Amino acid sequence: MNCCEHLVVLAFSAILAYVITPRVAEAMSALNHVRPDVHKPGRPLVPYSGGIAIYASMIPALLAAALFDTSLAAQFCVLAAVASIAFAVGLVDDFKVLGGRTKTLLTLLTVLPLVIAHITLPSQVQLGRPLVPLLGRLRLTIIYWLLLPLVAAGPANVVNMLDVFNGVMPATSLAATVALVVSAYLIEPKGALLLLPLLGALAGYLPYNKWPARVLNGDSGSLMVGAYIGAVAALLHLEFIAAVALIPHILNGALVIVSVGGFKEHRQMKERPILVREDFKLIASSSQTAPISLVRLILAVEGPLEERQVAARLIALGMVSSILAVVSALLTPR
Amino acid sequence: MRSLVVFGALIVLVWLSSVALLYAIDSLIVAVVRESWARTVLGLTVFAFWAFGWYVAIIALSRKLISSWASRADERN
Repeated sequence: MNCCEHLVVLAFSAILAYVITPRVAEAMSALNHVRPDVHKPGRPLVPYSGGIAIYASMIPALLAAALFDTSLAAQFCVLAAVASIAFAVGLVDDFKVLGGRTKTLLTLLTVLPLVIAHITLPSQVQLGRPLVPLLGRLRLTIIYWLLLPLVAAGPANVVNMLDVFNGVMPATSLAATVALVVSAYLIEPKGALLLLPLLGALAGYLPYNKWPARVLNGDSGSLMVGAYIGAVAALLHLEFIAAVALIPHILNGALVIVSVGGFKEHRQMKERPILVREDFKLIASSSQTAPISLVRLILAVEGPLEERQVAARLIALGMVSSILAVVSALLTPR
Repeated sequence: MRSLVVFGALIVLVWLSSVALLYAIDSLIVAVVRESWARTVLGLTVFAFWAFGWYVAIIALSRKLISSWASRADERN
């Protein structure tokens, strides 16, 4: 492991994201590709599809990382392909709204690069036998392959479903990515390099998306980030650790899917889980038939809160689960 | 901050139970039953029970929190 190379990749992607994001925001404004920020007074129009900036800073950093460590070239290619598929699905959805079910089905395509690489380059891209605390490598010989289609599509969709307030998606994903980087350094230090392009891109992008957001992520951002986290986890056998880091996302996704009876776009929902008061504080809907989400439950416990207060609580929960993910890595036999 | 305590505790419980579940599956099923579809079905069944248990618990907690919030909101109005 060469720390200098790791720092260069991290800094490269962070600087790229920091420089590219305002340009992308300007370009989206020029294209009139904007969305109302519905939780703010006057519902200001904010440039959409900030995921373009994350993608545009992550892919060059992936190439730079592949040049530093050619032994990981196959993994970098897989990650670039997974990120590109999820980004493409998200971008189509940003410009031309796809149905909830269609979008979910399309994200299942992200498993293809993983499977193809595993079949064609079995010595370089190994899947299966995830690492778990106390036990080490699990002997999941059949179940793993049955669940494999969800390995990138699952995180992609749950990260997308919690992308509800300014800063929440990049901040919670950053916490999860930091947890995975620490876990990789503890378990397989060489593999940490695979996560650094995403870590840098999210760190450089976050200042523009944090409250009050100057750019919104769009599905192009959230689907891609989630799919990338899932794909890296599969490549490094850190599936369990990634799932722990994403517990708030999984909890929210499960609540929404169960309460609305399947995969539905938020535009298709008849009732909203939360309401915006005249003073722009958010309150939980008291309707028995409104969808249940993690945000609605937070507001039910605490009462009316401002948008950034809710975002802070979601980010704090992301940090709790990321700490547990690192504890899981510490408890994993090597 | 109350929500952080409630949902932080919930996250810790989910994590602890998932570690216990994996340990139970490994020591009671994988170590005892030979590799086969039967072992897969058995493992998935145990996982399904774990997931269903959490589903029932979380839905019950959600409904309790929402009805408590609704009654507080009614009182205020």
